Amino acid sequence: MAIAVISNLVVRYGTKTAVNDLSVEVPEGCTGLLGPNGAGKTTLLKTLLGFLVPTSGSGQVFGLNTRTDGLKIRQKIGMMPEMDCHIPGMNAVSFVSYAGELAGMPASDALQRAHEVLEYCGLGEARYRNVETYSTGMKQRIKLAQALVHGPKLIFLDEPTNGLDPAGRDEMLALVRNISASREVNVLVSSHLLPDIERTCDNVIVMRSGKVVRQGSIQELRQTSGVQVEVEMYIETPPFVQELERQGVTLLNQTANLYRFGFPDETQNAGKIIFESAKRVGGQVRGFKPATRSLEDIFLEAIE
Amino acid sequence: MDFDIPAKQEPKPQGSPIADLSYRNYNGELKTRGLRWWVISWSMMKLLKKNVGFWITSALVFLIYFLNGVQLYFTSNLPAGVNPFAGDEKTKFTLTFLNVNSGTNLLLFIIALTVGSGSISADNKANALLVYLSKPLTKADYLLGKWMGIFLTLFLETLVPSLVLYLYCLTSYLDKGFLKNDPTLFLKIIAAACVPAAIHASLLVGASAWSKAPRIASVFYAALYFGSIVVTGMVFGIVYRGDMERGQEVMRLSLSGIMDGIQQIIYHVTIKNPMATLAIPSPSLIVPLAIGLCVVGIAAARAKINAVEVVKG
Repeated sequence: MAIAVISNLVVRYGTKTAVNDLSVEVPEGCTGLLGPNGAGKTTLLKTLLGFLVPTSGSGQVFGLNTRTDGLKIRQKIGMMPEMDCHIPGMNAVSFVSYAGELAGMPASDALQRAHEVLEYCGLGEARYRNVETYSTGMKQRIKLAQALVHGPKLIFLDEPTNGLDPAGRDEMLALVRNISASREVNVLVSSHLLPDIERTCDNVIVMRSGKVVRQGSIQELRQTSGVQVEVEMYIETPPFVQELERQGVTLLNQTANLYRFGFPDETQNAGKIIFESAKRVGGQVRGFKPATRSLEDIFLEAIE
Repeated sequence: MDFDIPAKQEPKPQGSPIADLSYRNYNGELKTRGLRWWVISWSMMKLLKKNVGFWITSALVFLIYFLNGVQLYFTSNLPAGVNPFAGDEKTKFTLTFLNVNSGTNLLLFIIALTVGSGSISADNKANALLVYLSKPLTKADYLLGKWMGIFLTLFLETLVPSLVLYLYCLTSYLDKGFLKNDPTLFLKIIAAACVPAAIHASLLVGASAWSKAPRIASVFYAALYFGSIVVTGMVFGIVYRGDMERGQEVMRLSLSGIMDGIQQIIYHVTIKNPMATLAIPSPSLIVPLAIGLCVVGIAAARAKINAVEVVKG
């Protein structure tokens, strides 16, 4: 089931078109929104939240219209913005419980829940400190806490690992993964950091110039067309490549002694051909596996 | 007899913490939107608790009301020959309330700056608008919350000491015609307390929304407040030099003059001072002017409040 359905959406800033005739369905679970800077990722999130009025097209989140049901949508959504944001003069508990009250929680529930989410986000020890004194990593965590406090069914995370050191990044990604694993919250992560998306998301939407250029589950997108295999030789072995090419096999990619070959016929026994060819030219095969594409390959292919 | 005693077993090492640390969602009650503005207003007022400047200024406001009460005590007990209210016995109490309102207007302006200059500008600086507007709130909810935060603080700053003074008069001067001379004084006090609160709140949300730092909003608003006094004072000095009463009417067009003028309309008393007699001003000019200022302030704020800054080009 799709949590958000967008049809022929066009968003313009004056004469500049930021989102151009975009149609996409965001599936349940954790979805990554990938794209180079200026691809329209943040504009899409802001339109779904009702901050921007689309020029044409429509969007639905949980079956609610983004044009007319903005308030109901925002009650079901938590937003972790890209830039630093906090309410001045408040400590973490006050800030998060205040965010809960703004979302409609009773004050007592909001306070209790604030302690809970701050503990969950790893800010338990620092919860009575003024937010303005927080480090970058802590500010990222408190943004996540304020997005989670009212129990949203969907959270938008805009560049959640911005400015974090490697350890902080690992912890943030683990939190995101843990939240989406609960199955109670769907997550839409907007990022241009491919490893972050790869580690946290089940599905990916790749955008370029305001359009969706690739979409699907990461597992499916990684699969290659036809039969492709990755072969690791002991050393670079050009005769081995020539021998395979003589049999109609295509060299797709080579990095030192690592080769990726494409076989024209799916019925061919790739393993047998590789090992026999290696034997004929006196080469030594060290590794052999069916090839999958990395998210980077998928992304680069999509935005080319 | 053979007893089969089981071997002592070591406790198994725990692979996971005793508490369930996985994410749990909130499925409790979410209230309807009706009073969301109150959450914002209340939060603004709560933050004032830690503001020493606010408490000092509030104490000064109370002090002025106290001194007026003391003055009232002495003048009520003075012999008729040296009593400044001797000729104005009927309007004595009403005039006291009007004078004390006028006397505290400058302090109210300072409190307004303390409460209101950062109301939206501090949010602009901290990108807090994204937090507010990503919640189920409209721009109007946010603006109303901020406006009411300033309005209620200033309103209570005037109303609470006024009510204390009113109770003092009620308990001490009932036999001297306190209720009989002006039965609607209580309602007038409430209405008069609204005037500076509404004007300051409206103009300050506008100034604050267009600033990215509370200090800039403060400077702008102070310039507007004192600038209007200086300009009207100059017009008074240059154009109506010899006509004191006409000049006083021009002074009524400054920000503080508008507030004083409307309060005089509400209390409906003529002010007699050694320099001039200030008749009740005509509401046809200053009331629309005050309403216009409020509308401009609120409209300016509304135009600037956005969750995202949209640059069109």
